Amino acid sequence: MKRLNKSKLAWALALAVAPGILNAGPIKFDFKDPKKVNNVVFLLDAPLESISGTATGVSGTVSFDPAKPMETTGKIVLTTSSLHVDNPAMKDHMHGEGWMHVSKFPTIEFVAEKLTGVRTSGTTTTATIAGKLTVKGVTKKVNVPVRLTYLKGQLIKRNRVPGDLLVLRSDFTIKRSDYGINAGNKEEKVSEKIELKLRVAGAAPR
Amino acid sequence: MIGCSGLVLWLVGGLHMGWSKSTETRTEIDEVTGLEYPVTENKYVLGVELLGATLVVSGGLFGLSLAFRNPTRPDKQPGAETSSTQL
Repeated sequence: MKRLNKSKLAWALALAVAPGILNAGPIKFDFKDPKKVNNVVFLLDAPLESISGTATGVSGTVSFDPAKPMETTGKIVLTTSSLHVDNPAMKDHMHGEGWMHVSKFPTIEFVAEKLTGVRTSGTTTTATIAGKLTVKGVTKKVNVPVRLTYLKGQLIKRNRVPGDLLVLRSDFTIKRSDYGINAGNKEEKVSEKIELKLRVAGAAPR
Repeated sequence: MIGCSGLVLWLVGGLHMGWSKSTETRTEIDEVTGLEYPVTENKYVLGVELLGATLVVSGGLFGLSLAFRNPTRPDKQPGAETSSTQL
């Protein structure tokens, strides 16, 4: 009788745990965000002028395994036509041929290939992403610091559907000259260094 | 008048020290993720370049008004000067 009860208990436990085991593994997070919360802030601090702007045309997918964050891979895409500064003349110049040439280069892409220096504390993982950044058709290898926050079961609070959220924050700097953004011109007004602040969240509905 | 209008518009716009802008971006925080995100709304804010332009134009017009002032105004006539001197 006791043996039978133990066996039943073991089966019950196995059945209870099975869905969790079956769900284990990388989760695919979609970063398309119609609410336009996902954004990139860009800052250029030149001697004569400081320029700041935003871009909200973020999309892409990231594959993240909470148990193995070092295996995170994915791609974040930014639509260049969403680059915005409050001054309309400056925005026209920025979108024009001389600078970002958005009609010819409609996207900026970052492909994450490998995470190094991974440290996880609770729901937050910090690491350095090795990847490839493509701006104006020029692709360069970059290493950027990243902070990933895995919010299990929090998607229902945001999108009213069950699922998880992955929040990705990264601050890094690129050079205009590396990507052919009007290199060497007007550096007294438009800084050679562009500070980028990536603030995005991906959703994985269940 | 032009200079005063420019100054008033600049003051109403919040003494904005940058270029004129047709939108204003403020930052909000997403409650669930804690992410800061920009919210852009259409709002014209006068910048220092247009404030400067209005002041230059008004100063120029003031200068022109002095250069082309009418020399035969009643208070400048010889009789008027004599009477004021006598007083």
